[in-house]
Amino acid sequence: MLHDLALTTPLLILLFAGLFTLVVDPFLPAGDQSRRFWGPFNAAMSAAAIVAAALMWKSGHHEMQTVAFGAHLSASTYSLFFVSLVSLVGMMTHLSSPKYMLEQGVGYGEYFAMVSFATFGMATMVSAESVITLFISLEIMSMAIYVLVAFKRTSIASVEAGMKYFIMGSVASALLLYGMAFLYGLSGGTTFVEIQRALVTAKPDQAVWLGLAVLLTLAAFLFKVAAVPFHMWAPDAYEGAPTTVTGFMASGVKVAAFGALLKILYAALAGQGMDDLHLPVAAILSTVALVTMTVGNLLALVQKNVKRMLAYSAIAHAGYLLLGTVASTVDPVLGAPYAVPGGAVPFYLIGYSLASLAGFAALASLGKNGEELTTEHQLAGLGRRYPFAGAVLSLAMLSLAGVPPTLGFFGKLELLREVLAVDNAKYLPHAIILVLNSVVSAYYYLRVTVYVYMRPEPKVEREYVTEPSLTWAMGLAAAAILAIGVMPGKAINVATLSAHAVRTGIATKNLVHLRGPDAPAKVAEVAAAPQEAPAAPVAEPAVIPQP
Amino acid sequence: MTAIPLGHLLGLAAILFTMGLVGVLTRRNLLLILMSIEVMLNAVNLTFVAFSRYNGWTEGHVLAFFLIAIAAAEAAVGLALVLSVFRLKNATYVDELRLLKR
Amino acid sequence: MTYNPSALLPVIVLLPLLGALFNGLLGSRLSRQTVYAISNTTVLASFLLSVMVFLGLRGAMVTAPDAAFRYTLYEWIAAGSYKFEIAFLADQLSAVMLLVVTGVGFLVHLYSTGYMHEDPGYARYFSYLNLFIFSMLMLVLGKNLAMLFIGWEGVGACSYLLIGFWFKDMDKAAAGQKAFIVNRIGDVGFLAAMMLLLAYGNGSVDFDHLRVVFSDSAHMLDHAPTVTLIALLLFVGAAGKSAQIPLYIWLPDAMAGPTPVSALIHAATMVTAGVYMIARMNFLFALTPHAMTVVMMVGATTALVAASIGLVQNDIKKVLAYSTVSQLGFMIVAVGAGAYAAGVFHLMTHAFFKGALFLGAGAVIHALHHEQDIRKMGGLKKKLPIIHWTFLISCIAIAGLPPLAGFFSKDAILAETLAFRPNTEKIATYYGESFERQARVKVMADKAPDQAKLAVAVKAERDAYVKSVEDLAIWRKVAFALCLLAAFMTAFYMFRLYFLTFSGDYRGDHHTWDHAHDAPWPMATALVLLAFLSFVGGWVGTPFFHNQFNFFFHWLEPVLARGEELLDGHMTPALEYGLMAASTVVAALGVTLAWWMYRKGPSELGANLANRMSFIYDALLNKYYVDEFYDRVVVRPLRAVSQAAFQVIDRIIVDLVMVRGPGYVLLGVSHAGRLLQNGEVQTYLVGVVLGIALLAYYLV
Repeated sequence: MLHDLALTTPLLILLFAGLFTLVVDPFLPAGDQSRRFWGPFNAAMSAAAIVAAALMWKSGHHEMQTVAFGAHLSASTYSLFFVSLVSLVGMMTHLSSPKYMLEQGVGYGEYFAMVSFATFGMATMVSAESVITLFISLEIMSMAIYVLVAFKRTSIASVEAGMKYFIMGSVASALLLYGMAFLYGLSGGTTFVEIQRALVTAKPDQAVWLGLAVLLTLAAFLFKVAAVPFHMWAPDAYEGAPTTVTGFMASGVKVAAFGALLKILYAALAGQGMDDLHLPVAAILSTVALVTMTVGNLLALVQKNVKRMLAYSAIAHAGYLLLGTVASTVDPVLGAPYAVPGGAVPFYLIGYSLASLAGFAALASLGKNGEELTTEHQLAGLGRRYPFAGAVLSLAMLSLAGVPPTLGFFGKLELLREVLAVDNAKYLPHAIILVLNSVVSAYYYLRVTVYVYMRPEPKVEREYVTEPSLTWAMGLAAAAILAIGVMPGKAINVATLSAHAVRTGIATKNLVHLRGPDAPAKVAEVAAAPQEAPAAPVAEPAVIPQP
Repeated sequence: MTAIPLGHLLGLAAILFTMGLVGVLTRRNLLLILMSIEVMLNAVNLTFVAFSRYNGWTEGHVLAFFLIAIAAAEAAVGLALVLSVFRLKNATYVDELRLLKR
Repeated sequence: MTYNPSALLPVIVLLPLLGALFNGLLGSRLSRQTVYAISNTTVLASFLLSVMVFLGLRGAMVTAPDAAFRYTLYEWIAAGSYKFEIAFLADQLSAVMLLVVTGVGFLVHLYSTGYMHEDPGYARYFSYLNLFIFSMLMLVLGKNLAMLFIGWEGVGACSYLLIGFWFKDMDKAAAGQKAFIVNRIGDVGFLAAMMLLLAYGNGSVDFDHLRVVFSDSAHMLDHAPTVTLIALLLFVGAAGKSAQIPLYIWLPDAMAGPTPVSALIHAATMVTAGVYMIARMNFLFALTPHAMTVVMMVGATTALVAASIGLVQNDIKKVLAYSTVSQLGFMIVAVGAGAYAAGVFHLMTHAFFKGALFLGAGAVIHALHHEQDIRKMGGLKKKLPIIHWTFLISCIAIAGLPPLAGFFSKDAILAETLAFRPNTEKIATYYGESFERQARVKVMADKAPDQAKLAVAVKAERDAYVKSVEDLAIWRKVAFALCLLAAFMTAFYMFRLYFLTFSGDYRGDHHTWDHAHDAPWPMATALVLLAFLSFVGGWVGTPFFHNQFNFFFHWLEPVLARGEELLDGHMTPALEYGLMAASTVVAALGVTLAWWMYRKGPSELGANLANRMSFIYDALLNKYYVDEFYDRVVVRPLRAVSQAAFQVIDRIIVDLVMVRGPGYVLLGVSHAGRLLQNGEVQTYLVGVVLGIALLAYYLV
């Protein structure tokens, strides 16, 4: 039990931060000023979670024993990577929020508690190894985010966005749950290991049920990542939500959703290798990816509101990432036929989330007294009035557009390379469409920089929110975009290592994630021994009536 | 005890789920939409319990409890949102929420 | 040889950067002379070192004909699947560019010390100029495409800084902005191509590596349309930088900068980067005759259109600007026709004579107190003798009269455009596996892996491809004809410019005339040296005696080997000398016509002609009314057409055709998509349900 808890240290830190904030806040003296303290405090706790995860990664602890709580949760390399990434997103959000929320007239302590809870939910979601954990953590995240979107209670847009997101999100949750119910019925277990085994050994007469289960689960994830045609909630929710929350959603939810999707896909749904189940999962995902990126980019072209434009751009990026999910390679630990994803998706997520955070933080720094400056015309001349905000915003746009030497460029490159490496360039047409899409997207991203630097500023005097923590958030994100952009090697390696561990989190307790020269020997050893689930005795597959 | 066939339970759950979904799609009143969502969640609950009981498994029962708790939390958040909407717009109809579009 | 020339490469590149940093940071505290000394010395030192590298390379080629110097300064990224290095490559092509860039660069620096004599912003100016040389050297010495791209962006940045150097008013800002936007459009193409090339090179865009990859036909991505796409995307980048249709519009506006800048950046070096890049990537372009044909035709059209616009312009710098666009068109025709060496040759001679022309024009403008209208000049022959003689030599060179530099390079382009054709056999062999893959897909359709059937299908694929390549042959003749016409126009408008400026009677005010003075010594030195090079520069590439003395073309052979291997056809002496005679006659005709019409200033004949054919004259003066046509018929029908032609072309071509034109199609789709987003959450849910239904159709 203690060991289980130790493995979840980063998650516990995040949970504690939220609970502490929520419990102590009522006892603080009235007035908004004392609430600003919660931002740095929660940010520090998120940073602590990152440090804990990094230490666990470094110690190699996770390599010996990765699963906790009866294989419902893991601290594998994969989980630790994503836990760090969502904690980073949480930290940035905490840093950029205090003054902004105050200016919007809703500087309450609960805000930070909600962000911490949502971060906790995300971190648990990417660590989940069973559908139970996955679902509960997804709900923890979602509910905190519904609240956050509607947090500016005085604004109709904010409340409307929250309500819409809530309704759609609840339906998606119900769909996911229904799909999981069928997965449970087919496998008799709730952990990914059991589900995968059941799916692989499913009898032909169960095909319909299998299809239904995979379909509903996938649909829910496609909803969360805002893939077409499940995307329509995103623009409204992004536009209505307070800007810092939009940044949190755009980066955090996307990271968590892709982290969980990748895991459930490779560890459970897709069988041992992609398309192992004779369900065209990869074909569907790659097609949805193309539609998603194209629709997202086309609709982003006509948006005048940068927040809404970024929502469509987020949809387009979801498309790129979805294409990345099908780029599988042979599992370096277990060997064929087991497949794992390459490092492209995790690496791309680093770049994408940093750029989103930087962009939304820069937008959050504009506008005072409940006013927000988010249309392109309002951004005209920004580069001269507030050079820092203008530069950070432009850098974020360049990174999203994939211009070197920013991180976004290498993200796209790695993605493209891995997609092309599949099966004799099977996805060459997809890759070309991706490249053409990014050409289209350059237009609307660069349009923002043109407004920032090349349009005369409006006559109206506007003020600018400055605060050390906000400046730090913007500076950190921008510096990371450039620094990793200049030296992406290390980050690519980390992302690849973590992606290759997507399956080992659920494998036998003693499975070592292999690296180094003795890897081949160990691979043989592992391949010889039958894979053993740590969970309770595996039940017989359910008997499902004929339809 | 006469065993109810699993198929009947699953069928009932499917019918409930569809009713809930159709409710969400067609109802204009936010409260009725919330109730429809609850129906969907409970339909899933029934599916879990049915599988569990029919096969003599335990996880399904446990999961049902989790789901009840989550459904309650979701209802709480949903009602709070409805309240916010009502305060600002003095209405609880979903088609009033059309500020954000295009 | 005791020194190792490869270690000199980073020094050559970094010296101008040091100069730029020094002058940029401390320049305001230094005296004028110190700033001059630092900037000129660094570039001169780079030039001398470049000569050493050149000599070293020549020495090394005695033992190894394909010798090249490589130097890795720093391994930028070597982890993961990438390998990017800050590394330099000095092969034969780079060496030529190196000498041109540092040589002409130094002369322009020298000239600038005279030209910028009264300008208070001298430190900033020389700092930018040094920075430009640094970026340009990165571009030509880069060992991989990423390095080239860094230099590519760097020269662009310096160009914008220098275009907007002098004036703060809106026109100059607009010119800088236009250059920025048009070049970004090109860059997007370049970047997209680079991403695809990375996929080809499996994480490396090193030129040596790519050359190997594209020589080996077993690559899984080898597929004619893909290679064509990459080549075309690269060409979009080249068209932006080298001012080709439809992206040429920024270059004439870029003349807002100081004239030495126009000479260095917008005539001799930066704008030729596109030509250099295509010559560098010859192994890729040669594989795709379709893309090559597009390149060639775009070049030929640009050459003709820009030359015709140049016929009637009255601003001395605008004439030279359109002439530059036109000459760049010639170079692009060359690389598009497979005459890579001829293209690079013309690049070099053009750097000499156009450099001299721009510097001469700058000296005239300088002498006449910033007068740029040639209608207010004339008779300067006696007043400004040095400028006059250097200008005249360069004019003869660009007009293409033997035995000056322009004659040989232009003649080589014309001849090889006509004589070469792609080696279909070798190219088709390269795509062999791709044909087989395609055929396999088609045959698999009826589930019978029949070998005979497969062979037939493969042959069908191959024949279709060969046929499509052979159908392209006619375009070479078209391009040749366009170029010949453009050459005639070039001779005419250059001598129109010459006669209007230097002969006849002076037509400006007398105060200016009295104060006019010939070039001071730094400017005169630069002019004389460049004019000398314009005279003799072509002699290294003469085709006489079966190319026996064609040093230049032999010199470049190691770099262009792969590209030329994929070409066919050779010159017969009859064709060779026939074309020489023809192009001499054409040029002489143009010069004579100009002499007849303009030797005494703007003649009545010219005016009559303009009146009589006012339709054509106005069309040329206003650049064909392309803009107005779009304006009335397509774009903004209500807009008054009376606006100045320059303004309109900007707005229409940049805004409409380049940015919105493709956009309109997309925007239409976009607007349709927006209608679905009607704000009703239940509509969105219907989307979700439909999505599930679609997935269900495939999955269940």
